[in-house]
Amino acid sequence: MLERLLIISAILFCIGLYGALSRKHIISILMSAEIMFNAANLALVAFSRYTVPASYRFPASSANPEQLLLGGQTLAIFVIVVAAAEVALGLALIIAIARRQNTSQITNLNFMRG
Amino acid sequence: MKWITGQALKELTKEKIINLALDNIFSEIVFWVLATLSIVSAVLVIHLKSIFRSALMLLVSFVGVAGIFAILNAEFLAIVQVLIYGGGITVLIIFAIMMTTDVDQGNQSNKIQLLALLSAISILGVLTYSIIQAQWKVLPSTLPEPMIDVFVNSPAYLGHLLLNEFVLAFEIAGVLLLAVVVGALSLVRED
Repeated sequence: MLERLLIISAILFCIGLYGALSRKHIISILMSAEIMFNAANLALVAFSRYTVPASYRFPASSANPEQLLLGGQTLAIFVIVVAAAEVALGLALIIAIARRQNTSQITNLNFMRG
Repeated sequence: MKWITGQALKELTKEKIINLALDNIFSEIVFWVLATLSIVSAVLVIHLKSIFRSALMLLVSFVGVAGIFAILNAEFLAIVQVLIYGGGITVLIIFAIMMTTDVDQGNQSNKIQLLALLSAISILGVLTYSIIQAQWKVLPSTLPEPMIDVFVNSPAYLGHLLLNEFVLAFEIAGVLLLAVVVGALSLVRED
């Protein structure tokens, strides 16, 4: 069960990777990055649900053992927060670039080339 | 809501059987439908010519992953996924498309498309091989009562975790969001 969830996560990640590498449009690259974030979240939640935390074999060490089971979900929440921040700032940048350069294809954005 | 004690952890093996999700044929079917939906719509996000339609396909992919979260006993994450990704990020992307793009240009590919496809497929092969080969320490299928309680009442435990163990990261996330709001406003301001 864990393996197929991780394989689905890997497939989603590679789709996002291919999109981020092969598209010309800035917003399309941003959407591919979102797919990759989503794949990482899926892997985190799958690990949180199906694997045994290491401290479970030494139960005396942890005061609140439930954090061992839900640590992956907590990390996924922070990943969602950072992804939302990244999208908001990235779209603001895209709008600023489109306003000044009047383009949204990355192949036209080479004005920093020497 | 009961906290796990060390005593309960020692009784990991001899507990009563409570079935969580993913144990019958119906949830298998639902799982495969959701997985196929999210993967196919993710492919369509990359592949469709119209960038507006690929933003809509992105919404479908997010909702599919939210359904998989719900199957995995992560109800809070499923709701957060629909609210933030489906309700927030997709709408923001659609607004940005409508504000910036000249729609007839479409979603073209660049020169390294073949190289990108080859590298993505090879990374997928390596990842799949290592996932299958690895020895995972998987939880037993019959869980003890306190662990079942953690998974079933996961929103309450998540709230407790966020405001106790991870409160520093929680506050830093708030500062990050404030900085993003200020930065985005100053970037898009007409001057």
